Order: sequence, then structure tokens, then C-alpha cells
Amino acid sequence: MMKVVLVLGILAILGLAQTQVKSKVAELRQLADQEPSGVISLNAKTYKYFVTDTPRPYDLVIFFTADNCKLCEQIYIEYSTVAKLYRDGGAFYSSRKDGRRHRAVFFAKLQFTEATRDIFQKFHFNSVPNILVSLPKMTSIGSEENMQAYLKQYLWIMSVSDGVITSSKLLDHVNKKTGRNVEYKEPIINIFITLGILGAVGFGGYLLLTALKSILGNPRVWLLGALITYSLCMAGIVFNILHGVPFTSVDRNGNVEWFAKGARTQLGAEGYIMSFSITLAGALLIGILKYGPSEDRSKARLLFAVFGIAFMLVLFHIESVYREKVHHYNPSFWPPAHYIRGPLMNDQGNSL
Amino acid sequence: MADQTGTKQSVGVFLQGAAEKWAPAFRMTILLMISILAVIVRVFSVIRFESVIHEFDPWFNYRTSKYLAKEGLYGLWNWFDSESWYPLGRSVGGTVYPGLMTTAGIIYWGLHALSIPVDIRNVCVFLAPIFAAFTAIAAFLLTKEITRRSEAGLIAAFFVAIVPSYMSRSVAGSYDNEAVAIFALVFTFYVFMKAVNTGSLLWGNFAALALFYMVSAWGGYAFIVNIIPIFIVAMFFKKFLRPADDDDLVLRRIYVAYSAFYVIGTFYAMQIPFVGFQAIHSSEHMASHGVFIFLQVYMFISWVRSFITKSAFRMLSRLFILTLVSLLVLGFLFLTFTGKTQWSGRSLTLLDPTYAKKYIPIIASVSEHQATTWSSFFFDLHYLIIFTPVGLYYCLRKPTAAKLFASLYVVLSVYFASVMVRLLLVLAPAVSVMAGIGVSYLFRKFTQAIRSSFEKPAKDKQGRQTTQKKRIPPELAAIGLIFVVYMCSTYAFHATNAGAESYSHPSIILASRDRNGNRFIIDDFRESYYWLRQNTAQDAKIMSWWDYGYQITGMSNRTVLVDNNTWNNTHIATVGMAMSSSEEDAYEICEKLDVDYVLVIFGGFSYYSGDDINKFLWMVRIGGGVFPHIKEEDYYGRGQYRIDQHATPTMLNCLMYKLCYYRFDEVKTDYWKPPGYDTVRGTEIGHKGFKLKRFEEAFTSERWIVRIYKVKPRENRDGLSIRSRSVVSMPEKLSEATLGGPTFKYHKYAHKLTAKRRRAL
Repeated sequence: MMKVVLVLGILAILGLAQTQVKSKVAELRQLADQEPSGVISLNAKTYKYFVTDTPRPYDLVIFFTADNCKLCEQIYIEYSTVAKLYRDGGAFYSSRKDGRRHRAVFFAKLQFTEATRDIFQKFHFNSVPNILVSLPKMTSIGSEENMQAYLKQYLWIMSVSDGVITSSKLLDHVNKKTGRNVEYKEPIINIFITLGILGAVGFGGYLLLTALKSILGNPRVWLLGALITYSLCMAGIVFNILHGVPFTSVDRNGNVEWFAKGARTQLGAEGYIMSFSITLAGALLIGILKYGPSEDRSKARLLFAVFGIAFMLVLFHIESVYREKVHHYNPSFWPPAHYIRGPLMNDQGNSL
Repeated sequence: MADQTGTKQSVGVFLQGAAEKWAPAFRMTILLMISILAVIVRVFSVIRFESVIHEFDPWFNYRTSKYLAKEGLYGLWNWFDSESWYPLGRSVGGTVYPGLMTTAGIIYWGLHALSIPVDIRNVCVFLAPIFAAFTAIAAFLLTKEITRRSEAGLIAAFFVAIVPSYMSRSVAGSYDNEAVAIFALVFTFYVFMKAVNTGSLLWGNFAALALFYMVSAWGGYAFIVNIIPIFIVAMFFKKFLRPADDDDLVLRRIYVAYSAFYVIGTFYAMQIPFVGFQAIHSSEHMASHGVFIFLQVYMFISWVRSFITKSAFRMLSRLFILTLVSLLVLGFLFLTFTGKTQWSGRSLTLLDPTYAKKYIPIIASVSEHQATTWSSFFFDLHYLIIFTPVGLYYCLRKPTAAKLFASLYVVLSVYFASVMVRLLLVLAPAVSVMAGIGVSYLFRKFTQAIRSSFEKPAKDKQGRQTTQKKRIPPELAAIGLIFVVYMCSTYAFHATNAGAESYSHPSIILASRDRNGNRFIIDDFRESYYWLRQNTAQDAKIMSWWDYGYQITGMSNRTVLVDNNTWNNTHIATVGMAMSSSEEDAYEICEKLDVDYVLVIFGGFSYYSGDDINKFLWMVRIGGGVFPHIKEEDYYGRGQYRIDQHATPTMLNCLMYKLCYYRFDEVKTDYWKPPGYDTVRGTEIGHKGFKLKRFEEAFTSERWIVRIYKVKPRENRDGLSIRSRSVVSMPEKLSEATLGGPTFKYHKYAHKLTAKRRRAL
């Protein structure tokens, strides 16, 4: 009799625990379903209940955020995309795949308030947003040292140096930490938007093409287009954009500097000036070819002289700027003095 | 008087006759001399240093070539390299462009068949200069095909033979894919232009064959695969905007050429294991598929046109083209968004230059992937960029298909070159060809003017003077001619200078000068790599930053964790994390990765600025990209990356810092400076007198450039420290010990153990 009671009791306790476990997962799922994005908002009480209290047979990704945080809002959009992807990928349910068991994964966010201050302090947060992947094993970590080791692996403290955080990057991170393999899919709406834009651009382009047929059909316009592209690219426009180069700078004495020293850098204006000069030099040569031949000899001479002198001035300008910029520039190379002449063995390189 | 003009005339006639008779011979001789020039201008590095493989990637190519020469082509295909990417390894056959190695292998086998026992190393070293000569010939052919003028071809060949940009990748010893690929690129363009000009199926086939060589040699083949479809689309635009009589003929020729080129070329490309089915479904190839389908449909419509009325045809064709274009766009978008086709990171960088900076630090970290400044354009192409507009003017004055192609090539490649410094290499042949066309046009106009001043105004049969053609005044033309010649020779001087001084450094051997001006050689790299080969176990694993991976496997024959084939970002990030972690954490990573030695490059002792401390921020960034707990800002002291006393504790205690500056405070680098003065950063180091616990200095090269550390094994009973210490620190009663959840059992056990020991004591 005693035995039966004992067995029944144990069974009951087990069952209770089981239902509690079940119910906790179900509760989370219900909460997640209420939100369109699938991200559950936690507060201090629910944080304790869902995150720190055992048993908890699920993974919880927590997004720590605060009011008046622009970066958080931006990243939260990406974060909720990841949550949606997880929901669509069926990752809110535990599953078994390729012989590996996956726990259910839920997404939550925790706002910084007076009530949740303690939680934020516990993690020593100086900044938001941060993303913590909380696995069940986190609840059983005892010592502070082990906790630090856990956080090192599973807590992502976001900062400027992380660069642009995209949803695919976030998804990668969460996948890696939870062991899931949810794939990135572009939302259908984005595809349609892109398609619409492309269609509009194509149609607009067609209209433009027919309207400007006579202009665009002129090879001179092609030449002009080619030369403009040529000089813009040569100006290092991509370099300027990538490095956020200022147009000009100011030197120590407060004078405006137009040219930067060193071959690997440049200032914004410098690139345009020089590449324009180079294209201009070419254009002057074209001018000589186009307007030089003339029946009126004196007019031809005058034109030739003007174009020729202008060309030389521009060339001189390019050369002098480059010489100023790069000191080892030496286009009068004839084996320089430091070339050791004489028998081959003198300059074998390996003879010290 | 009449007699004099008569002799003058007859001398002129004689000269002209002789010139015409001997022109082919002159052409050949000049081309041969240009080829010889292309070779000899590139051997400065062998003369000034020695016949050695340069830099980083060439070492892998060299190692693969050695393997190929020994094992044959199938051996290479099946080669699984266990010496790199430990513990993953790398299947080399499927991840390599084999064109370069196969070329070297064929030359090697050929010479051996002729009983010329040449070393494979020398074949590799001199391959690039020889192919530069071929490139010059290909440029001659291409330019001749575009302009139908051999003088333009000769000038273009001369320009391309010594253009500094190309020289930077093809000096003797620079045994890299680009060395043969630039030849393949120019040659493919030539053959394709020939196919377009003749409309011959045979030439289309040859073009596919040339493309095959290009695909086998370099990933840059994507440029060809895209520029040709763009060119064809441009031809359609031209027909739409500026109809000409021969449009239909030209398009039919293009149709024949491209159909052969595309179908056979794609099949060929798929034969390279590294490309395989990417030739079908990668986004880089989508344009070529689309244009192929479009051409077929267009031709079909033209065929239908011959049967139906004009108005019905117009409606039909519009409908057809509209549906087709929208279908193609839709299909492409569908494939892209569903992930069936993907852009590679490097290609995306070309379309959106900011992409790499945002998302792929590993691509952004490579210096040759940086954006280009105007001065790089000027240094690498010199006066060619001034002559190019003239060539463009000539080509677009009366555009034919070939001239339009050349202009497109220039415009597209100048954009690509502005995105990545490395792609100046693709621009160089384009600009050389264009400048060659431009300069020859200038020459022609000037010499025509001079020549016409010697000729008597021609008279027609009735004795009337024909209207004289417009000419430039001859005396000014002479001045112009001299000036252009002067500019060309300045260009030659500059190119020689660049080849001899700037681009001929092997970078594994450095040269410097002592205070008396005597030249000496710094050979630290090879010294240490040989040390590794001779003093470490055969299966020792060496951890270093990925830059040195190829060199270590090539010269030391030891296993490395990461190398310059950056295929596994996570693995590289792990090494980055190890380098930027504290000694204790790094030790754990090293242990997990089976590392035996850690190799760092340190230039602070001998003014070598390309060292690991200067590259360190990239290790942090790449490591932080995968392991977010590594934060770039933790390594900035007072808002700056620094190594002096104001550096952050994280920086001062990370592995890289410690390994570089270990015992550095014991030496003086400069008489006037305190000990521990870093000559590259120009500051005194901030952390002195530290000891290494987990690592042990194994080797430091003569000038400290390479430092190698051995990873110490764990000390006896290391990690069991609590137990041994607990004799003293463990409280007498179990209840007094602070017990955590999972450690409870362990403490209980430890307590029992200590109690036993105490009793024994």
C-alpha cells in the first residue's frame, strides 16, 4: 500500500513538473503569438520566471534595450526579423534533426526601467543594445567566474565597431549559439518593392531614351559621357566616399591645404582637380587634332600655339603636384648612382 | 629647278616604295624588340636580389607547381593538402585555378623532354616576364583588329609591355595568377573581336578556347563574361539610337560569334573544378545567359519578319521583346532572392563599393582591395591616362563595333580600377590600347602634315590644282611630333624606374643601407622559416596570422592553421581571437587547436613597418566579427590605437603585444632613446619586464623581424590547482566551504581528500 502511494506520489510530482515545464513553454508560445513580431516583452517579474527559474527546457534570446536609444530601435527591427524567421522556420518548437536535439527558441526583449535596473547591473552593462542567448545551462552556473566565461561566449555587447548589423548577421549569430540552422529568406514584400522600382526605372529609361533619341544618338555625347566617367573614376571618387575624405584640410599654420602628402592618400578636391587636369590635357590634344588643320595658316598657327602652350602648362602642373606629393618620383631614370656597376657578382643581392 | 623637284619626287617615291616593301619585316622586328624589352625590364628583381619566388600567394602557386611537376595533373586534382587549415585541411584540386601551374608544368615537362634540365623554380620565376611578352603581342593584335592599323598596334604593344601597373604583378618571381591571366584577357578580347569582325564560327570557337584558358587561370574571368554581354547590349542601343546601314550585318556577325563563344565557353568553364556549376548559377554569369537568350529571340524575330507585314511585325516584336526582358529580369530576381544564385563578396564590392567595408572585413583588410587614389592612377599608368582621351575621341568619332568595344572596355575597367587598386591591372591593357590608338593618331596627323609639305600639290588630268586637304602647319607639326616622342620616352623612363625600384622587391628578402651607404640584405624571413623546417617536429602546427600561411607551408614545410586562401572566415577569426586575447585565454585556444608554435612578425626593432602590430587591428576586427566579445574599442587608448603607456590594459596584455614585445625592453634600438623604443611606432612601449607563463621564446631572427614561440605543455597537475592548494585553504568543516550547485560534489570530494592528507601530515 505504502509503495503504491509512494509510486503514485512520485508520478504525481513528476507529472506536475512536467506540466509546469509544458505550461511554461506553452505560455511563452502564447505570449509570442500575441506579438506580430514574435518578440516577447519581459519585465522584472517575468524575467525571473522565464529566465532564472528552473526548470526551463528552452533557449531564450534576450534583447536588452532602453528608451531614447536610436541604435536600439534600428537593431530591434533586424532583431524582430530574425524572430519572425525563427517562427516561420518552426523553431519555436523543440525538434530533432540529424540526430541532434534542438530546444525551442524564444525571442524576448527587456526594457531598462527602475524595476529592471538590477538585472542590467548584474550584467555590468554600460550600454545598450545587447543581445544575450540564454541557454538552460545558464541557470545552473554558480560562480561569478563561470558566469563571466558563459557571458563571454553568449553575450553580444553591441558597439559602433561592430559595423552595420543586418538581420542576416544577427541570424548567423543566433544560429551559431543555439545550434539551429534557420535560413535567411528575403520577405516577399521586399521582392515586390524591388521589382516595382526596377520596372519603373526600366520604363522611365525607355521613355527617356525615346525622348532624347537625337541627343543620345550622337557619338559626341558618348565621348562626353565616357570622358566624364573617366575623370570621375580617376578622381578616386570611391576612395573619397569610402574614407569620408574632407574636401580640403587645414595645416598647422591655419592655411588651407589642397593636396595631401603621400601616394596612398588624397583630399577630396585634390582628386577632382588632378583628374580634371589629366582629362583636360587629353582634351587639349584632341583640340589640336580637331582645330589644328585649317586652310587659314595663321589661324591654324595661333590655335596650335594656344592649345600647345595650354597643354604644356597643364602637364607641368600635373607633374609638379605629383612631384610634391611623391618624392621618389623620378621619370628620368637611367641606372641611378646607387646601382653598383661592374662584374655581376658585385650586385647579386645576396652578397653582403 | 624642275630637275630638283624631280629628284625630290623620285627620292620620295623610292622611300615610299622601300618602306612599303620592308614594312612587314620592320613590324616583326619592332614587335620582337618590344617582346624582348618586356622580358628584360622585368628581371631587375633577379639581378638585384636573386631568382626567388616573391611575396605571399606566389609561394602557394610555387608549392602547387612543384606538386604538379611531381604528381601530374590528376595528382593535383586529387590533392588534399593536410598541411594547411589544420585541422580542416584543404582540397586543393577543387579550390584552385590551375591555369598558372599547368602552364609552368607544361613548360617544365617540355624542356625536360628536350633534355634541358631546368629547375621548376626557375620556370616559375621567369614565367611572368615571358607572358608579358605574349601580352605585348596580344595587345598588338587586338589594337590592329580594332583600328586595322599596325602602327597603332605597335605603339600599344610598346605601352603595354612596360606599363608599371602590369609590371607590378609580373616581375620575375611574381608567380601569380595575374601573370598569365592578363595575357589571356587581352588575347580573348582579340579573338572575340576577330570573330565579331569576320562573323566566323571558327573564330567564335577559338574565342571560347581563349576564354577557357582565362577561366583556368584567374577568377577575373568574370570581367570577360560580363563585358561581352554589355558590349552586345550596347550594340543594340546603338542600333536603336543611331541606326546605320550595316547594323543588321554586324548584329548577325555578333550573333554567330557570341553563340559559339557562349555555348562552348560555358561548357569549357565548367570543366574547371573550382568553377563547375557556378558557370550556370552564379550571378556573375547571369548577364551572359540573358544576352544569349535575347540574341536568339532577336534573330528569330528577324527571321519571322521576312514573312509578315511590317505593322504586324512591329507589334509582334515589341510584345515579344517586352515579355522577354521582363521575364529575364523576373527570373533573375527570383533566383537571387530565393538564394539559388548568389553574388560573391568580391563582385558585390565592385557593384557597391561600401559593401566590403560594412560586411566583410576580411576582404576590406587586404591592401590590394583598397580604393584607388588619383596618384595611384598616375604612378601606375603615367602619361597613358593623358593619351587615352585622344584614343577615345578617335574611336567614338566613327564608331564601329570593335571601336565601341574598346571604348566600353576603357570606361568599365576605369570604374572597376577606381574601386580596387588591384584592378588597375585590368585597366592597364585597356588604357595601353587606347593610348596606343591615340598616340598613333597624333603621329599620323603630324607626319601627314610634314609629308604633305614635301609633296607638290597634286594635279588632276585637266591640270587644275585639286583642293588641298586641311593640314596642320608642318613646322608646328614637327614640334608636336617631337613633344609626343619626348612624352613617350619619359613614360619609358618612368616605367623602367618603377620596374627597377618600386616593383622589384621580393618582400621576403629586404634590402637596406647602413650609415655608410653600403647595401645589405635582410633575410630574416627565410632564416626563420628554415629554422622552423630544421628544428621543429615534422608535424608541428604553427599558428600565425594568415598572411604568412603560404610562406610557412612553402618554405618550412610545416602545418599552418590559416593561410592566404581565406576560405574559412571563422577559422581566421579564431586565430584573430587568440592573438587578441589575454595570454591565459589564448593558451586555451592554442591548446584546443593543437598549436605547437606561434609565429609573429615584429618590425619595431628594425624599421619594418609591415608587421603584425600594424596589422593587429584587422585581427581584432575579423576576430570581433565572429566573436563579439572582442571589441575594437578595447584596444584604443585615449581614442587612438597605441602601444605606449596610455594603451589600454587589454592591449598591453593581449597575446600579440606580449609576443612582439617580450624582452624588447632589454635592448636599445636607438642611442638617444630609452630601452624598449619601438622604431616603427616611434614610441616607448608601455608594458615592460613581463614574463610569459604559457609560451616560451623559441627563436628570434637576426633583426627580430620574425619571433617564434613554443606553446609550453601544461605543468604537472596544472588545472588541479585547487586540490593541491586546498591543504591550506580548505576550511576544516565542510559546511564552511562556499558551495555552488554543480561544484558541490567536487568540493565534497576535495574536502575528503584534504582531510585524508591532513591526517597523513
